Amino acid sequence: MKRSNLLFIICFLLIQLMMGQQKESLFNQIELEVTNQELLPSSMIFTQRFLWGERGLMRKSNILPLTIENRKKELQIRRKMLIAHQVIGYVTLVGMIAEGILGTKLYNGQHNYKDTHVVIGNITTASYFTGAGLSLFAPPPLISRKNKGLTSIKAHKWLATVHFSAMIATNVLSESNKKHHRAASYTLFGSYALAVLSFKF
Amino acid sequence: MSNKLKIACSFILFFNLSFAQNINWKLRESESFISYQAKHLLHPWKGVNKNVRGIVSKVDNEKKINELAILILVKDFDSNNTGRDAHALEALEVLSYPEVRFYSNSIELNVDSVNIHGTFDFHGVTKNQTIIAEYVEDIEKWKIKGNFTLKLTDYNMELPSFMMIKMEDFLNFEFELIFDKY
Repeated sequence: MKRSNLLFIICFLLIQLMMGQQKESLFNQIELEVTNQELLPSSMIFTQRFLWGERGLMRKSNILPLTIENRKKELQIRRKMLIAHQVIGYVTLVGMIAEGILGTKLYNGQHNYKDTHVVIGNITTASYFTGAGLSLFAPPPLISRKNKGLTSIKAHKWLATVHFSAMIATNVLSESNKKHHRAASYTLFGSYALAVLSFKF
Repeated sequence: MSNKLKIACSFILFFNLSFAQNINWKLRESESFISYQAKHLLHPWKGVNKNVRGIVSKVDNEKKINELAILILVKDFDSNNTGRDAHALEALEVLSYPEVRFYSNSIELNVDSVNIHGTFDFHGVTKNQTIIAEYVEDIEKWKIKGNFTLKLTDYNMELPSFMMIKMEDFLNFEFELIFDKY
């Protein structure tokens, strides 16, 4: 083959190859200020920070160092914990309704329900704190944005502060002050039911 | 090498090189957006991405668009609910697939509409999609506006659920993209 022909063929192939790269080069031209996905949100609650923060227990103990692969695993754990939080939340709500009915009967003098009230109360308290723990200690999400106005997640969190305090008060006052126990339990039920209902997908 | 072959190759080279005279129109990020609307049995919601990146490649002084490339980051969608957005990032496995890309090199311009035949690269799956959009052109800009639907399970997505009920399998997208001529 003549040298000039060979040169022609090489040029031809090179230019064809360059044209084939068109798609990628077009994307390369998009000035993407690639900010890598942050692995942790800008803010998280103290319980999550304690376990999963940059210097959290999981990182320091080297059980789950902060890497992309580990964060993928953590997000799967988080999803399972939050689904369990949801299910236990509904069970707890049913327990609270039952306690409301039994408590009213007790106030009306039907003392034969006392033992049942105590047993269901203990189960409801246990499921409440289990559900709370699943939320408080779940690995953190990837992002945490400050949204404008009242959102369902904000309402859910604010109401959580109310029903958490009311749950403690209900238990502390169960023997010492019946009147305040009832007021605390109503506050607990109202704020808890609202928190469950307010949470949107 | 025969002369006929040389002429044919030269013609192809000339044709290809003529593409090198392309000019690019860059997307005006501040005024462009892509939004999605999704539905669950309980309610619908909407998320907006205002950080769209894109570029159009065309032959100078010709009314023909050669290529269109759009790139968005999944994390830039905002539905004004941080919990939902965080859940969406998990469902879309954003740590493995942070970007959504759309590319087309088959764009048909009609009087006031444009048919864009391209490919979506989303959640690790590449699929063909035709988008029909309206367009408006003036001295400064080229604006396209339209909508399209993606079926999430086509892109190997596991549908997120709430109260044990999965969300609907379709995402309806709306977009308005403005490209600056320069």
